[in-house]
Amino acid sequence: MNRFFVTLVLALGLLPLLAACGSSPGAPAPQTEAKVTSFPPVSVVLDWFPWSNHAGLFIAKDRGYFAAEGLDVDIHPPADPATILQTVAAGRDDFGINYQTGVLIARQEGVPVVSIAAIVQHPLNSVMTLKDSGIVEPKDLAGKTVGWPGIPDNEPLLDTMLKSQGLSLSDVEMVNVGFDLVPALIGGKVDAIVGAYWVHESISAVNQGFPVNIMRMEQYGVPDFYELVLVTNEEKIKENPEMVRRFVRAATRGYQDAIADPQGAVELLKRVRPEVDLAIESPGVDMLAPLWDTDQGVFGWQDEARWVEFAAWMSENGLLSGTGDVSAAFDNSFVAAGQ
Amino acid sequence: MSNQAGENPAPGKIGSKVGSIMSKLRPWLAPVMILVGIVVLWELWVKVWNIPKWQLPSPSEIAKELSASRSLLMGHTLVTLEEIVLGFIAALAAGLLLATGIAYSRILERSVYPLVIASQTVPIIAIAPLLLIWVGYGIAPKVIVVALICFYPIAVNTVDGLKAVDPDMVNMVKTLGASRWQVFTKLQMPTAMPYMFSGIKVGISVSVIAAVIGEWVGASAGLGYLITYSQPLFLTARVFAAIVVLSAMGISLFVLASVVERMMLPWHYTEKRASSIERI
Repeated sequence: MNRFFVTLVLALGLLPLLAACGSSPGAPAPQTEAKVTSFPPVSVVLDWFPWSNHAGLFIAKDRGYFAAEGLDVDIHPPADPATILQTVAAGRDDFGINYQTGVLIARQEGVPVVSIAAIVQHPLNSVMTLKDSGIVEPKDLAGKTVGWPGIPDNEPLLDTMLKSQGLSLSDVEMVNVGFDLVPALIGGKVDAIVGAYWVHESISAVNQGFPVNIMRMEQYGVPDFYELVLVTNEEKIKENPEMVRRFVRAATRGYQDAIADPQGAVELLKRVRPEVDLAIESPGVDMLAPLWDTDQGVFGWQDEARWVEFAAWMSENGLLSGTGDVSAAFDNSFVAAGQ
Repeated sequence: MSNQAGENPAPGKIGSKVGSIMSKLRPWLAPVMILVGIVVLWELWVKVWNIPKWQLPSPSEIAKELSASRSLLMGHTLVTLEEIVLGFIAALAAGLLLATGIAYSRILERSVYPLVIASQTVPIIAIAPLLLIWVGYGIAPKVIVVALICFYPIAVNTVDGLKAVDPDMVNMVKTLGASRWQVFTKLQMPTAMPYMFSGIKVGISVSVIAAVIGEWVGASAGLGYLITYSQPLFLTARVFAAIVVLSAMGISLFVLASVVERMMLPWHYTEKRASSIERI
């Protein structure tokens, strides 16, 4: 028993060494002197289970872009989607994917996170109804039940959409259905759902035999926000900006590959994470890939005016008590260096 | 002699009253002191290391939150309490009924008892979201989760209790002409009661956790909902405040069950006391 234990400890101790030996010859990029610098292992927490939106990160890992930067990157789903910014701020994870609303609320509460790239440039969150319900616009929702995942920002988002057509949140009945939004909709438990992505949940509903109507938020009064952003904490930026730069540079290469070949990207995702469903991801990524692209031609770029406008909307709708220092909530220097 | 007796009784009585209160409080002294110690250390830890509030709020911040959000907490507490009470009553009824059936019927024991045990291995957290789809989003799925979790300890303990009756005693009262019903009410029930109450006390302690699981996967009110809602807003002090209330609720329910037990089984306690005196 004792000897077994010693062997186990030794084996576990040697594993990282073996991995390090194994990965360096496999890296495709030439080993310049600067890139031999080794960093501690990098931990990335996703916003959800792996799906096509994470393809860029998995490409960067699989094709050795992270390794070429001297980074050993672990990508994992969150223990709880509600505590991603907390684990990033506490340094348990080096990077995380989260919402623009989340970053602004976190900073107001003193959680030191910074958005360093906007992965999805526009809203994915939408309102969905069944095709045969006849509910196609926010104004049709009067007196209906709307399922939501219990995340605070969904109520004001829906409220703004309703107000754009003369209604408000008090004209609908909100039902917290947890994260099982689509089953609630196709099971007829609610008339509409909010909080579902129009590039993902819509397809899973269609695949179950239920075509849906989609109401996109930015078309009904909600400012055009960044759905998912890449975050890190202030300390990391201060103490190890080189590591952050390298990570963003490698991730950018991954996403550029994904934009150039979305279907290849989800095939790679399927290979490294076999649990993903290509019946959803393949059609979904074609809708999603254009949203990775920016108007500025720099992947991940974040426009200050859009941050300011969104913070103002959040403050008007009670999600923030003031707009605070919006310019400190995001940082373009890493994506700029990653080109 | 009579004079002395007339002078002394008042202070003597008070003294013995204080003494008896003290002796009743003594068992609580150690846990309370430990709790106070932990709270003080926690407070100091947060202050000394300057731990941000969103990461770990200090006990004083939690106390502030408890007082500031008391009406909010009260509203959600009543919702959770209702789920627990209804779920627990359902579990008690089902548990006792099934336990009696299992204790009396060989067929039920062989066919149903293994299933009762198997039911405890089902991960409730995986079933909870499905319950929402099956029975809707009201109070029903939460009550079902509470009932599913509380039912098991009650049923298993009661079965054990009903089977713990000395068969010689059963034979004896039968020879004295007792009917089956009399054997049950006069002999088996009293024997089984302490076991049943053990099951009830275990069940009621976990009922609070069960209600939170039920609310976690989809609710519009309740302390579990308040926790899931407060987390993305980084209101960690509020999360802890809700936990404090949940904990207090669980302890109160346990105490309540113990009080009911004492009232219903006075003989059990006199016996216990007698045996502990013997030990001394």
